[in-house]
Amino acid sequence: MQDVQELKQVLKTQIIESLNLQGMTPDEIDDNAPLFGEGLGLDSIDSLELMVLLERNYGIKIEDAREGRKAMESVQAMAQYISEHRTK
Amino acid sequence: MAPLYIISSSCISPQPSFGVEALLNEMISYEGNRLSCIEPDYKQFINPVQIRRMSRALKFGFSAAMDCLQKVNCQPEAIIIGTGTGCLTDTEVFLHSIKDYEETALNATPFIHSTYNQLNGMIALNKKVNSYSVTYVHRAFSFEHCLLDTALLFDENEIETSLVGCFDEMTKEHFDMKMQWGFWKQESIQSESLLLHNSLGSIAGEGSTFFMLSKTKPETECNSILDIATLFQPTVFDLEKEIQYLLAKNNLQLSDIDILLSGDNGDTNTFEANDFVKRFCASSTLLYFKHLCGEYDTATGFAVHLANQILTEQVIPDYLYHPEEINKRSQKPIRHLLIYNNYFGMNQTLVLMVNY
Repeated sequence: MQDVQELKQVLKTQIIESLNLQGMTPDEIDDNAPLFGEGLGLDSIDSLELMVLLERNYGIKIEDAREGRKAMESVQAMAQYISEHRTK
Repeated sequence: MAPLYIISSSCISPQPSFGVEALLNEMISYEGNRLSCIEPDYKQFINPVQIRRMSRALKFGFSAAMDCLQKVNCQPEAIIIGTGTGCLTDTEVFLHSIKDYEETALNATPFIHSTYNQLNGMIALNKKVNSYSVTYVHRAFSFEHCLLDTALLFDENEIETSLVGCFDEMTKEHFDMKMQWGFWKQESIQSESLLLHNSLGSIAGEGSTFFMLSKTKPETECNSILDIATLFQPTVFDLEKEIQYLLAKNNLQLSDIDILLSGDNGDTNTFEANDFVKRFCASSTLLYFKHLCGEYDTATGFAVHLANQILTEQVIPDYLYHPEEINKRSQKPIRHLLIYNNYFGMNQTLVLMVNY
């Protein structure tokens, strides 16, 4: 199993690929910067894409919107949530 | 039918047609049987957040529409778009993910973008148009129905201006499927020699064309679409009758047609109809366009754009003649032009245009 640090790097690459963030590298994404609004500036369609990313790659299905919002606050929060809930 | 006055047009095609007002000095000839669009720098029309989600067809369709609107700087009262297959790339991505992930965990973006009316919505949102917005998906009659719908709206005094356009893309998967069904030539050809190959099938193409159409005649010199006819699998007798009817309705004689712009796609299966129209309109100068854009559902849009430029410039470049008929160059003024498009014998279209 990956540790959180390693997971964050993998996750950043997956986010760039999944959301087609052209011209962006994993190093440019701050671990603690908000993914939505400020920071990466993602929107509601991106949140759907991130839910699919979690389900496909880590077997995590988020049913509760409030929980989802918290889990996708930042790369750090996502990595933490994945390490606690992943089924694959 | 009320004339549809063309006040601006924009075209993205396999030729360098975008951002160019005049007729092209020379054509690009492609090796192989699949012609792809020359894509402009999209960043001048689409913001970075939108662009990362858009597939090629959406990008070139949206850019052509925005360019067309920028030229006239006016708000359309209707947005009417035709597409034979819509955004194929997104459709394919979505269908593949249904299969690969067994109908679970499907991405939202390709699903949203695979819907045919996505381009209408994007243009309407961008230009804040909340009036009439329709997408026609009638295979190779899609663009024609946009023109017919606009004519009806003008006739009924519903609107004064309409943004009318079309878009279609050719993906590798779609090309391969149609290759198996016999749509494309088996031998690889040079596109400029399309009409010299006596074999089955054609060459594949794609593109997007947009027009700003007005009900009112502009004060400056302009061109208009006078009439349209669509015929499904007609016989040559049906074609003869329809051409005569179209001319009579507009008080014209065959000899009034200065140019016949033929959509002969080089498929020997359609030789009879193409040859008939060519002989029937023998008094007109015969030009061709499919070697420039390839064959696709909404190629009539490309033909109307080209015809509009010919009528405006009053010049016929050599590359529009049949390679063996280049010595039949015409120098006379061009007033009436008839487009005859033939999509594999199934969908055949007549578009009558005039220069004022």
